[in-house]
Amino acid sequence: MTHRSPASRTLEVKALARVEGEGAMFVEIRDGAVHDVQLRIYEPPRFFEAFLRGRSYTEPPDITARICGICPVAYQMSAVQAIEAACGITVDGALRDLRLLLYFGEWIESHALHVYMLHAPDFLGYESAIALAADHRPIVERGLALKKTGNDLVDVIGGRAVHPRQCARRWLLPGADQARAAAPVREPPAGA
Amino acid sequence: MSTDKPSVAVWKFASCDGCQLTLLDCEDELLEVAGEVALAYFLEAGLTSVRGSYALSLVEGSITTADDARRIQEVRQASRTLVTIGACATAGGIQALRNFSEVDEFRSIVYAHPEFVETLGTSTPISAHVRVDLELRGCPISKAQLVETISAFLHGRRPNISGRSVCSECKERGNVCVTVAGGTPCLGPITHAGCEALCPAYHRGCYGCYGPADTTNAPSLVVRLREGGMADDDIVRVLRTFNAYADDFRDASEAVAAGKGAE
Ligand code: SF4
Ligand code: SF4
Repeated sequence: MTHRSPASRTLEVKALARVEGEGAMFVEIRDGAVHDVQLRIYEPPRFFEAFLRGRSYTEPPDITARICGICPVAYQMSAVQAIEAACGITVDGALRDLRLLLYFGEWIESHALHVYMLHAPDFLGYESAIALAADHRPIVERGLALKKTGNDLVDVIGGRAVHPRQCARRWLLPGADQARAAAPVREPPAGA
Repeated sequence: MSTDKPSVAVWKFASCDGCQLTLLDCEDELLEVAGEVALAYFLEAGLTSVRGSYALSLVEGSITTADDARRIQEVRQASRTLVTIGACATAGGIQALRNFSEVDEFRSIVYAHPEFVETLGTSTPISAHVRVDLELRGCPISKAQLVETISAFLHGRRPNISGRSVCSECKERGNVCVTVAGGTPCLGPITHAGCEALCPAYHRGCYGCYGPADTTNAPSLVVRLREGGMADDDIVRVLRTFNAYADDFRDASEAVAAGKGAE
């Protein structure tokens, strides 16, 4: 960070911490007004949109999960819903409830991570949650317990906490067989 | 932070953060591990301050840019022990699907301004660039194998990680074989153990997210998949996911794509 005078200065953050993905930020203030802002995302591209082409309709949920390990369910659900929309399928009842529960598990896990491990240390002036734990261990332990509860929910419903595995065909695409009967689509490959 | 504890760093290259998150997901062990080591660099957790050298570096992600190809050299030089965590770092990850295509075409269909997007034509594992002391498999890695690796490191012993296949974990777990009993195609026979046969336990075939086991016979499995009724392009696709560029999976998918071994 560089300061020139209170009214004119530049802020440069070379690596944004506590986020999934990599980015840098540059802000220039001149005479008390923001003059220039640059956000540089140097996270390398992975090209999901390109390599999803040509895949069977059963495959995207497992592939899109890998966009982000912190919120894989969001990507799995988006893929599932896109495929169901394309096939004209609506899901309700217990299946919909299970999906919501899976999603809630992810929210609990991800929000506990966000609040306790990433932001609380900032607000309280510590370098990290581990440094925070040295002075406030019960609070960090409570955060870890909350986070674990969310993970346990994803684990029980989805099979594991990161990239849950039971989402694509077993019960998240119950209409897949009708869709296959109705339209000439490719047979699912192994593991589907 | 006291300096007599070994310093540990976590590095990210092209990846989804799922493998490093697995470290934060060790809720029951995290504070205990943090007491034994000096977690020195872990950007996702906000630790950016310590510079210098590291006793143990955990490396997530594959090499896909010229900058990252340089950065991994620096990481290697600064690290006494370097362990790759996960399919991206160990095999190139799902982003290695570009290796079978034209990256310029990928770039032009995904980005409105491809000229701003820097990338190499390939996604390669860390071992293609620097010496690696241990590779952890999986997309994502297993918590148990990560904790075992860190505790073995702290005690100066070799981690006890078996290179056998998912099939042996199925037997241990008491799973009924999904292929033999249900006719479901499964990559378990050629896939590295570590997940405790998660998918077959839920009646799904394995899709190989742990990459190849230490010894595999992929051509033989391909024969079995064909006998089970899979078309060749389906076999190619199932071999080309998170470990598409791992030697055994790549050789097998290229052979099938070239029509080898077909009747
Ligand atoms: S191996 Fe899988 S879980 Fe790990 S970083 Fe790569 S995409 Fe994410
Ligand atoms: S059974 Fe195969 S696909 Fe499923 S978690 Fe294990 S290694 Fe991954």
